[in-house]
Amino acid sequence: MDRKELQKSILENSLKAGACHLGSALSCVDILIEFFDILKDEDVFIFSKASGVSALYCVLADKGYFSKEKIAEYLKNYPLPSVEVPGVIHSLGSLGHGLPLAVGMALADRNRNVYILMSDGECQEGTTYESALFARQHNLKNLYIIIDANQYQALGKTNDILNLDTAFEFLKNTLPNCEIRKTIKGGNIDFLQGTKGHYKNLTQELLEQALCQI
Amino acid sequence: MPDLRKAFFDYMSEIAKNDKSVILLVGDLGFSFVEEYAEKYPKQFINTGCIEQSLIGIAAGLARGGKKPYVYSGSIFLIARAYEQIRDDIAFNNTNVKLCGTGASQFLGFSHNWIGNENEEDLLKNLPNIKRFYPQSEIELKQALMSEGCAYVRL
Repeated sequence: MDRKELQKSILENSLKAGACHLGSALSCVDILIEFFDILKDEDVFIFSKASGVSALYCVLADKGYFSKEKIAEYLKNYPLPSVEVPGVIHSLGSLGHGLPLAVGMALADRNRNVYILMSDGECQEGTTYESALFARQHNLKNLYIIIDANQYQALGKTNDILNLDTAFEFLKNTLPNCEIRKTIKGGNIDFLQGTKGHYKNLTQELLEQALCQI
Repeated sequence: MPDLRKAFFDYMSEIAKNDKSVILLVGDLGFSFVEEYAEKYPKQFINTGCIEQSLIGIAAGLARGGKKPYVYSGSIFLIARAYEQIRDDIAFNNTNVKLCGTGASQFLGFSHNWIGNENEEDLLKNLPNIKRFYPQSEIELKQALMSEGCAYVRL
């Protein structure tokens, strides 16, 4: 699945399901494609930026965990990543729960790689730093973190609300496999960028406009 | 209520000896009780330090990875401080984690309040899946620790 197909799937299924959080889903499209290209069967993948769930379900369907016809139904019934959806190993919703879970799984079996996709908003949660210190203390080299730094949160620019520059430095210095990836919230769809795409629901007309821009 | 802390670590030694997937996590608590277990089973023991919220998530991750985590801490830190983690990562997800809390009714007061956590029953009773045990004897304690699935055990 390439970027364009994944974007299209996210948009169409979000409209069908009446789901929002499109900005969050669209900012992590490239990272998800990259992750699922390198994931082996025995690896663990944790999608911690739970509100971007539509992107996760679209990728899981593409990888054959379930049929593409089920995406909208799952999005409607499980609007946050849930174990009832094939391919999801732990139900997540609140920010800051994915990293402790990933750390525990990496510790449970050091021969298995654990990959986690986090949001930059989650880097405002205290558990991020507790877990990072623990991961370093226990030398968890099999833990791989990418932070989707789309630089916006619900009410505005992340750095205007709670600046993360020094936090990112801390995480990079503390965790050997932690990458901060700057992305664009809403991807290349102008009316979903920044805070505009956080809670916006699509209409048929907006979907058509969006599809022209991907 | 009997002080079951010594019996807890004795039983944990027995459980850890018989099942290598058992792992005991303590939140920097257990002074003068935990040492013997920690020395005997270093690969099945972690003092996580004071990271009470992440401790619950880490335990859930260990359970998801096939381990059987037992978490030992003061009730107030274990239940009240990490309540959302217990709700989401243990109860909602039904992960096989035992939460073992001490000092629930101890007086460690400040400003005429209690640091005890006698209301843990109120906090836990409406959550799905998680069993609650208030053992009154060593035998009841052992039964609680050997129970299936996620549980809270007051020591």
